[in-house]
Amino acid sequence: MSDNEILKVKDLSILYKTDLETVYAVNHVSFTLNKGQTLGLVGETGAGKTTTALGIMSLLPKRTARVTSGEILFEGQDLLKMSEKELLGIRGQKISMIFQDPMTALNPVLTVGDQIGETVRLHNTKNLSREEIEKKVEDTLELVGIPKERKNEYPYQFSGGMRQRVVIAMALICDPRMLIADEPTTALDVTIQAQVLSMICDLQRKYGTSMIMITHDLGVVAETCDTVGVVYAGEIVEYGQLADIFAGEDHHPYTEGLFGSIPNLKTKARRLQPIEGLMPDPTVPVEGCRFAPRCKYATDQCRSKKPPLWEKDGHQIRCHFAGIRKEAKHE
Amino acid sequence: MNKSVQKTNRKSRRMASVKEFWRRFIKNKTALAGFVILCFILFIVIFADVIVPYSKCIEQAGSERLQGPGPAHWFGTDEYGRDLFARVIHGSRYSLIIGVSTSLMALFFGAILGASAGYFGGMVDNIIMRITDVFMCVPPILLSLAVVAALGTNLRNLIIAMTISCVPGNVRLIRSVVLTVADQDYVEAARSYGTGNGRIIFRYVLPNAMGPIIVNTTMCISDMILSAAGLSFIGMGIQPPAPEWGSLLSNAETYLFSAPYLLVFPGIFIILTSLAFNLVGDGLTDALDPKLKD
Repeated sequence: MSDNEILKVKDLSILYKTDLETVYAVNHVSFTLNKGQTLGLVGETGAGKTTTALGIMSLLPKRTARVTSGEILFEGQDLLKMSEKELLGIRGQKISMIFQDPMTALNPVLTVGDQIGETVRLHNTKNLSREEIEKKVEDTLELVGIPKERKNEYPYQFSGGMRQRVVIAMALICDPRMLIADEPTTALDVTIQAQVLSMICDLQRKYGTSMIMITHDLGVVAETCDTVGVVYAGEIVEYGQLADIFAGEDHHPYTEGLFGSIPNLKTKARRLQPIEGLMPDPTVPVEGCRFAPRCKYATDQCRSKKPPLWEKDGHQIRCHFAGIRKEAKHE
Repeated sequence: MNKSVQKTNRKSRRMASVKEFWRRFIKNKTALAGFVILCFILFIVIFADVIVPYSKCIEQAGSERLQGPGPAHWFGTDEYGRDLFARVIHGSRYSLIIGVSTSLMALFFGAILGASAGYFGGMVDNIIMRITDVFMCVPPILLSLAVVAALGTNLRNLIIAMTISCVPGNVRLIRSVVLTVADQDYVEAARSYGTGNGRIIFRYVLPNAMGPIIVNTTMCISDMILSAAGLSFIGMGIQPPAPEWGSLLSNAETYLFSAPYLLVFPGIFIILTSLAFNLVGDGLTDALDPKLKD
């Protein structure tokens, strides 16, 4: 692991096992996050993005989830091999997470200031006194654009956008080295989305935090990410620099489908082209390419044989025809 | 200097929040009524000896048996000529000690067991709940009876016995509330900030489950006073001649038709106490819930 990398996920597989069925949620996923950079994980709902994030935090539901293969190296140490006690010291202090729904991510009986201070009190390695913690809470509140006078108010007195700021303040107060943002803007309305997003990015740049941005919104990716992984059915089907995904020549058919499903100002398409069909049943192990049933280029080979990983200058595509099939892209 | 200023600031802020709580509590008139009754009963409990000396309630006077209420004996006298007023006043001590201490103990054990069962789930849940089921199978009064019979009848054993019979219900209730709260996003969020299980249970899960728990506990106090009365009734509670509201009721049964006042006065006090605790419990739940603040 080179010095420049903060997180390296290798061949991670996670499944949920219940008495009735086994759900293959994440399948042999690998990616790398460099220091100070942002990695985007894009994909449909149920593609396994959140499961990957929870896997990194070791917060998967213990009774059902199993990590069947892989390692998660954070600053050279494998998070999967750490004891619960070591993890407690890492969560919140070195890695923290911004949750999707700010309406439910805050404890209703604690005041906002108490709640933000909670993370500091838990990881009080610098032995800050109560007054210093209070000061830090006030500073952080101002940082995310909330007047510090409001720290004695309860979450229900805040609007959705303000609550998300509180959640962000909680995640950032310990200066974590890595931030996982799980669809941080999905539950907000559009005007607030842009504000919150640009605030996250500003703070990230200011503190040099690395970030994993989980989203289904390609617009968010274009705005925030350096590296992008396109996730489909628990697999990363395409992985590369932002430019590779948005302007590269070769693409996975699923990525093309994603771009075809959003409106584009420059081209005159009469209709959007949604990807036909649904994601495959995650309880059934797949022989060939997972996208084959929905792919318009699929051949018998696709249905029977697992596609190899095609790579060119760090741009990876998991498709039999990658690099061969040059498509009139984004038509 | 600076530090002391901040310290007083914090103190005044805590005072402010207590004030705020009080303001919301007294806004609820029924809760305030309950609180006034409760104060009245507490006054009786504390100053029982000043109101009427204890000797009065065990002093027997053959010539004054079963006299109705009057200026000499406000609540009348019982079959041994003891003053009922004195017995009711001093009985409040036993009844309240039993009611409050059993409920608090049952709350304590119920919260620990119920919260662990609901929060950890799996094996822990299974073990705790199956044992609870076993205790639930036995009718509570029978269970307390068995424990008292085994340990011997005195105040301490009575409290232990009644706590044991009350805990299973509490475990059930608290587990079910905890189950719904433990699923909330903020609990998972707390975990993602590196919060340990104990802290999550006591700072995140239980405070959010407080409403039903408070109501249940205050109801439990009146329940316990009544079931202590039940135990005294069959002779397994507080032993005579010590007065206790329940045993006063059970003595009254013999003279139900000739001297109904023997039943009425202790009955009124039991009802008032139950009512007061229930009203206060309701008010507490509302006043403590930040969402109902205005």
